[in-house]
Order: sequence, then structure tokens, then C-alpha cells
Amino acid sequence: MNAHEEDLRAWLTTFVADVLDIGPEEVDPGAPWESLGVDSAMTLVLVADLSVVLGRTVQPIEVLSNPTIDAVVEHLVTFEAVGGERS
Amino acid sequence: MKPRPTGRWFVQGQARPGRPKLFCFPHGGGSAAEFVRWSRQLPSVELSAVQLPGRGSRLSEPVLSTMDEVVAAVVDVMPTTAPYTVFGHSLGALVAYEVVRELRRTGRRLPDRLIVSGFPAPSTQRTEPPVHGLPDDELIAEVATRHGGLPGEILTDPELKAMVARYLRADYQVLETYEWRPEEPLPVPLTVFGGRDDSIGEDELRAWQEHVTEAVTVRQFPGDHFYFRENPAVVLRALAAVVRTTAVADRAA
Repeated sequence: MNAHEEDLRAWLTTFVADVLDIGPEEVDPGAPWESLGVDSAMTLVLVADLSVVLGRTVQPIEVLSNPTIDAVVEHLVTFEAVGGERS
Repeated sequence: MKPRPTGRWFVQGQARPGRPKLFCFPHGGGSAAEFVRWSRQLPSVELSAVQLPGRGSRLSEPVLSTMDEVVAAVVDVMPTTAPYTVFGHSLGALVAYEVVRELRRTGRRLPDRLIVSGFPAPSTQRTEPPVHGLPDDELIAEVATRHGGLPGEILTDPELKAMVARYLRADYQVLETYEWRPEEPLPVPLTVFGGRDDSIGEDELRAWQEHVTEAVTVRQFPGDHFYFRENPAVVLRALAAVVRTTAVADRAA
């Protein structure tokens, strides 16, 4: 686990906490998106914000095909490690 | 009967043991996530919402494309031992109604109340031409034109478009191949919600009366088909009041 990975997890957790209007500590990073209240429309907002944070265009499917915060973090870290190939 | 796992089918909002349960059924193309977001504003209930296969964390699962399949699958896992209320919006209203009819056929506990939203009485003849056979682009565009509620970005992202079209098509196939079969009206109190600017008029909402033996209340809110997105606070207060009143009446009975 590196600092970048933790930053990404924290950023995603805060995003979801804002959506649900709850404290970040109440957000389970291992819970499926729908149980966090994130649907496909909200995913579009999430990837737009995430694209700004990461400085690259994040595709909606990168979030939608990874069902939890943990899974998305793992995907994003792997994506960068392999130089942008789809994992 | 062995209890079956409900986790994939019913996504729960905040856990509130002992509170009346509210089971929500999403519209065509909808997701459990939207209802889960309501959970915080509805502290008097323990909310769960149905997530059908083919979307969300169930993306890779085969979709269901007939009402009979959907109803059988939901009834199989739906927990009905404690008092509960059922809410369905649009296609979800029709699914909720058919689920309650199947619960009655199989001798299960019925809900204290059924709340249907944005959908005409189930015996109403459909006049809109079917869309479930259309190509992806046309399917998404036609649904967006009829009801709104679909972000425009979906059409510009090929992967997203294919993903959304798959479950949207399945849902519309459920709707468009549905045939109402006559049966005794349900012995369940019914509340009907709708948007004043929706294409579904008050008469079509009132026509739900013939499907239950109990009293029907119709309530229309400002807004279109997705009236609850325009002013969620008002709608959720009304919803909470309906569930609370039902629960009190239940205890007094």
C-alpha cells in the first residue's frame, strides 16, 4: 500500500460521504456502489471529478466494472503501474 | 424452508432494527442506489431496494426479461416475516403489485400498504409502441424522450451505452410483454403517488382503485415523471408520513 493508493481511497470515500451526507468513517470501502447510493448517473459525476484529480480521462466503465471503492482503487493503481493499459 | 440470501437482490440502506421495513422497486433502467440515498431522510423506516441482475454490482449477471421471472426471483428471497410496506415507481410499481399478488397466491404475509408511483393502473391498455426491439441508440433516445431521467453522456460513451442499453432493454421487455391477468383485488391499503406534469394523468392513477379492496389515496406532487428528484424533501416527508400512519394503524388493529 502506498501513499497514492491511500489518497485515492480517501478521495473516493469523501465523494461518497458527500453524496450520502454522512461522515467518511461511515463509508464502507468494501461495499458495492449501490449500497453506497452511487448509481450510473452519479458515476458520471464521479468520473468527471476523478479525471480532474488524476489528470487523465477516466472512463465510466472503469468505475462501473469495479463494484467497490477498494476495487476501483486497486484498478486505478494497477492502471497507472502498467502505463495506462486496461486491467 | 431454508432462508435464502437476500443480499444481491435487496440492497439495504441504514440498518434500523425494529423499525417498519420499506421495500422499494426501481423504475425501468433504475437502480437500488437512488433509494438507498433516501435512507438518511427516512429515519423511521429500514429501507431496502431491489437490485435486479445486469446492473450495479450485478452487471455481469444475465438479465431477466419477463415479469414472471422477475416476480418469481424477488418473491423467492423477499423477507416477509416482519411488518413491511412496499413502494414501486413506474415499472417498479407494476413489479411491486405483481410481487404482492404472488405473495398472496403463495400464502405469505402481505404488506401493510402498497405505494405505487408514476404508473397507470395495471389493467390499462398500453398505447405506446414497444421499444425493447430497437437498436441501442434509438432505445435510449426514445426512453429519454418519453420519461427523461437518462444523462446525455450515456450516448457518447460506447461501453456505457451498451451497458445501459442491456438492462434498459430487459426492463422494457418486462413491461412490454406484460399481460394483466384478472384476479381478486388485493386486500391491501393503497397509496398512489404521481407528478402533476407527468403524462400519466390523475384518472389513470385513480384507476388503481379497482385493484384493491381497501381505501386508495392519490397524491400528486409538482413535477414530471421523476417528481421526487425535483423536490425530494417534500416527497420523502409524505412517504415517511404514509409509512408511519400505516404502522400506527397496524398496531391499533
